[in-house]
Amino acid sequence: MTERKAREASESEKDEPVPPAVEQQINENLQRLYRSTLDEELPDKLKQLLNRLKDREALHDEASSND
Amino acid sequence: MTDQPSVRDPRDELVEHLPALRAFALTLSRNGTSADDLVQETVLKAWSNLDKFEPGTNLKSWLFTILRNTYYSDRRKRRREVADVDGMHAAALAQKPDHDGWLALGDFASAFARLPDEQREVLVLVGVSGFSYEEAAETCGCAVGTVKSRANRARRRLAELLELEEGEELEMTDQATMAVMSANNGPA
Repeated sequence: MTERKAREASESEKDEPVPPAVEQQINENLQRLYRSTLDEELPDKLKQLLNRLKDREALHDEASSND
Repeated sequence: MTDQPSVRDPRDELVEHLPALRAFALTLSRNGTSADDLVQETVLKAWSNLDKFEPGTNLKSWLFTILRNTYYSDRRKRRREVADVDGMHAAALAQKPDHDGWLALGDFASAFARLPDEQREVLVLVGVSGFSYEEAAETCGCAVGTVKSRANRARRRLAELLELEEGEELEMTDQATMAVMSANNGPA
């Protein structure tokens, strides 16, 4: 097998799916990783950001309606 | 008379997607502070461009696309990382995850953090965020085949880093499945 063909064969192997049991293990750990962040409380600065944006828009709407 | 489905104001719906956005941001940045800054930047961009969002369509997908594009735009500006399909350069950089929740999950989190950005993002999009391959492809701006290829490569690399060998996989298999596999001359 030429070097190029060996490289192409190696590359295409990487595209092969892993065995189902391995994929399941990976997914379970991914879920745990992802959920560890989902379950955290949002930082104050993010909670306050949306409120500030909504307040600013409300003020803008009020100013526009008074014109 | 046909009832029109009510369309929610995206300004009200946006807050529901913040936890998922933050989790995705952490996937990309691997750093808690950077992830929060990325989400903040995304929210500001989304808010000022809400006129471009079509009510009734997938707001979560739209937000994830903005976040992803913001991350890669910032990355290009920083010019610190090189696209690394095989993960060799990422492994060399070996940035450990800087987030308490991730540190607690040890080996898997460390291995996951070593994957290239493009592989981490597709695993999260199709594996845990609830996106289909087609939706993930649209978010990533690439073909469905590319998403599948990246996901397969990511899983292969994780299996290699975590030493999830073929033998180990068989040990987890119950007796009934082993019997079927033997009858079919081994795993498919």
